[in-house]
Amino acid sequence: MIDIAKIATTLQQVTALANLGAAVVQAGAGAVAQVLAICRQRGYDVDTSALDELIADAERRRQIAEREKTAQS
Amino acid sequence: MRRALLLVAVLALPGCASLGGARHVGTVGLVSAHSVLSAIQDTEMRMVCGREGAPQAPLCVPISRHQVISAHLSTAFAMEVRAAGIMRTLPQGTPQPADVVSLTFQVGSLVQEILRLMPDSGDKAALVQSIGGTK
Repeated sequence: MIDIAKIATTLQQVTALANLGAAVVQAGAGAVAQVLAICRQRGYDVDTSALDELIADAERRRQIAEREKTAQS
Repeated sequence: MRRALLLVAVLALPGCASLGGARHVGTVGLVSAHSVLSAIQDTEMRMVCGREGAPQAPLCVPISRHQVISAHLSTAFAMEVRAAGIMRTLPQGTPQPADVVSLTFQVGSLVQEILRLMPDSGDKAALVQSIGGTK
């Protein structure tokens, strides 16, 4: 069972800490689904898997940004 | 101001942790921040002047500014990788490391700077709304 109130409180605290506003609460459906999935399947291994995916995607996006740093058009 | 915010964050974290464990809360926070950064990158790339589908000047992002924004994004994603790496190796029941809090704050600052660099337009307004920010 998902405790929406607890998730909302958690996300508000986290986003407030990150100074990103109420980002997650109102984010796009994909982002919310991703976060809710982690909240729903709470556990050390689930978090590890989520962090692995995050690291891989962040590194992919960092490389894109590196290329775009020198883009001419 | 930033020191004060950091202090608030450090003090607030034990409260966060009680809601699901520091590692879990940190994971949710990092995934959330990553979603925001990803939305910004995807949107900004579509706004670069001269690219297919980009708005006309002055609503598009000039290439020189796009390069600066990309540098900020590269730094922010690198910080995310560092923070996630720290969180990944965190043993169960361990408090949230101050490094992760600091990195998260720095990512937040870069987000604010990137949004400042993007020209006001319908695309930017939609982006800001989607990530729950304020104008």
